[in-house]
Amino acid sequence: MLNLFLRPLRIFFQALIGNDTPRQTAWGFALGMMVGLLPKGNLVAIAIAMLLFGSRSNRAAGILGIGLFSYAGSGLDGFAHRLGSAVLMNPHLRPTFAWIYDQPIGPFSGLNNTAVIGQLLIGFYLVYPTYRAAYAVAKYVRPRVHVYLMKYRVIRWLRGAEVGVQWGLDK
Amino acid sequence: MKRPKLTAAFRWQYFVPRLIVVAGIWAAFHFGLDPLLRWTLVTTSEAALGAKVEVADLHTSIRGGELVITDFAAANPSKPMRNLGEAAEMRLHLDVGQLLRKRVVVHDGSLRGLRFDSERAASGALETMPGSEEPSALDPIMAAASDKALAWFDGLTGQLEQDLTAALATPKLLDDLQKRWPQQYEALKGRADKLGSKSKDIESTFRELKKNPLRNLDKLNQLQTELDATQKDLASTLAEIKSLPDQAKADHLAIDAARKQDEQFLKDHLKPGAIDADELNRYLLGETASGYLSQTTYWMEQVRKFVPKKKIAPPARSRGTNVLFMARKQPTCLIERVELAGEARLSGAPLTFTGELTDAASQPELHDKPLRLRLRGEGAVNGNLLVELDRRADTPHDSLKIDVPKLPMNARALGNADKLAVTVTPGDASLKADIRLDGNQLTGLIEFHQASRLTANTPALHDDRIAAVLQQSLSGVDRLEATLRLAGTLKRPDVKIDSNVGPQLASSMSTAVSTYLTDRKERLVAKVQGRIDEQMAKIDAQRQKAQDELLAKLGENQQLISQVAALMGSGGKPSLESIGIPQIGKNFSLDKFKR
Repeated sequence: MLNLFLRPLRIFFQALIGNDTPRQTAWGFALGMMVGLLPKGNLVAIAIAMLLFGSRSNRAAGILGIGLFSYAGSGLDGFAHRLGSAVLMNPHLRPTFAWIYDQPIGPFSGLNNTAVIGQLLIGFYLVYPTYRAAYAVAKYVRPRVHVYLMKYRVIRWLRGAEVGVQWGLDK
Repeated sequence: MKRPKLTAAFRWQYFVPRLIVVAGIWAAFHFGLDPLLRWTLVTTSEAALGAKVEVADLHTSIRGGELVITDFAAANPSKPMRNLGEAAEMRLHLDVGQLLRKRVVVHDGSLRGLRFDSERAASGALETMPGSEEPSALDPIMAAASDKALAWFDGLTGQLEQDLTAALATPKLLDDLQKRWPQQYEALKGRADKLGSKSKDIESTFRELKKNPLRNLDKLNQLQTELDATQKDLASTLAEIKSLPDQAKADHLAIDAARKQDEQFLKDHLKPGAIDADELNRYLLGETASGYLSQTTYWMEQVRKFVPKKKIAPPARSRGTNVLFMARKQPTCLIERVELAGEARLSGAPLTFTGELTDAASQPELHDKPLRLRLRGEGAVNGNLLVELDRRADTPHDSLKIDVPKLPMNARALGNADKLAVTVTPGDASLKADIRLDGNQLTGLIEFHQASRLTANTPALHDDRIAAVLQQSLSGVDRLEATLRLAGTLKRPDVKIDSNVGPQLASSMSTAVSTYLTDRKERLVAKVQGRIDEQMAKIDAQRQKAQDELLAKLGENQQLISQVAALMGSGGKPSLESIGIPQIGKNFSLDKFKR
């Protein structure tokens, strides 16, 4: 029960004070960015989300990325739709997408949706810059924040709880 | 910085529980799909039908794309102990690829052992029954036609059976005359007798007074007055008796006028009301036609509810647009072809049918072919049925074609058996129907031919002659032909029925009734005239005889009164000379005393 209430806080602060490397944090944020941009309810979004949560990237950073870029993604939908339409209607690419669509799970992939394709392309375009920016933040800003936050007892207590969870003390 | 190994790059504790969940879902899907589908089918069908729906077994094979339903039975909501329909086996071949595209496409299938209106072992009523049936839209039309025809027939019956003699003026006048004349005669006779006795009284009184006239001078004067009054009375009585021929003439004229009035009355009342052959057709065939048409329009309406003109797609709230990589959007559910085979009972006779249902789509406007249901029946009915529902254009087009070249028909009565009915003997019939529904506009033509003998039954008519004429009129008819033309809308349909029976019967009835009524009128007029002649001759003779008798009697009285008047003096005043009193002055000459 305690874990249920503390988990969101733990995840948030874990992003700031966890022991994950800057690379893990940057990957988490970059994958979260992609999931956030993409419309949900398709296999592409699910696959990237599973990659985010199934890999050892920083989940807290990923959730933060999802939250931030979900808002940004809806603002980019118009552009994403035009971009996706251009790609899907491209006579050279169209047969490929039609083939994907005709595969058994093709309709669930979302690769026939203009917004999915557009946001996916935007996500691919932004993934490296986002990774680099997140890496920089994780490397240079997080240690200072870590030191600052660890001054607070409640943060230490949450960290202890996190360790306890990792040791299986919440079961 | 040391790069993590690939195995270390993933959190397997994340994947394993999820894989277990996926496996659980698969297992639930694998073992629970059939019961779930069965429950869904039964629940939704019962909710839609309002009666019990039973499915013995449902088996799906996702890999093979096959759905098999065995022993499906849907109870009839209005007859809980009978099934609306049942199927021994329903086998549908599904396109699995399309299932993954959220579409249900049945390429091929078969429905075997279809039976309609079969018996049930247990009641199929649900605890909550649906509301009562709405009246058919054709009911008012047929009821109006029936009322009109029955009103005509009731009027005719009334005309035939009404006692018109009581309403005639001439018999009343004759009766009055017959009563009035004896009274008048008695009055005149009384007056004549009274005059006679009065005259005799005056004469005897006069003779008595004459013996001593001087003393009775006053009485003589009084007698003179009485005599004058008697003379006046005698004169008026005589004048009245002499006016009897003029009165007889006036009576003749009044009776003639009454006779003419009666003739006009009979002409008006015994005029056969016009019966419209179309109304008679509706009256005779309307009920049967209404039943079939109500069923047809009901089912077309139900089909319209289930296969609407256009499904208004809710506005898409999803992000982006789905490109489907196909020429046009496809319906979510499509049955390309299903074979149908089953049996039913029609009027107790077994009927086997085969057919196919093609291109049934959940969004028919998205499919490039219209829905078609073809059925061929053998046994009780040998015929074809074709139903086509086309939703491709903006206006929906539905059509129903029936072609039954040989349809055995039982004996039946058309119309109201208590009043006027036409009995049709059993025989083979042919039926062709072509009904179309374009938008809400209903058009159609139904042709029915039956080789059969027709018999008119008129239990309400108690005159055998009319019944015989009607019987004779239909004796030459060896077939029943009816053509129904449908128009109007599904909610307010209109039907025009043409048949050989209506005009034939209307014409025969009009002729027979007209002849009968004319004959009846002539008989009544002749009867009245005969009575007039008889009564008037009798009255005239009586009158003449009475006139002669009274005149003779009054003649005697007149003679007596004249004599008395002569005795009393012609001047009206009694004189001494007239009564024979000697006047001394006249015997002596006074001249002797003169110087």
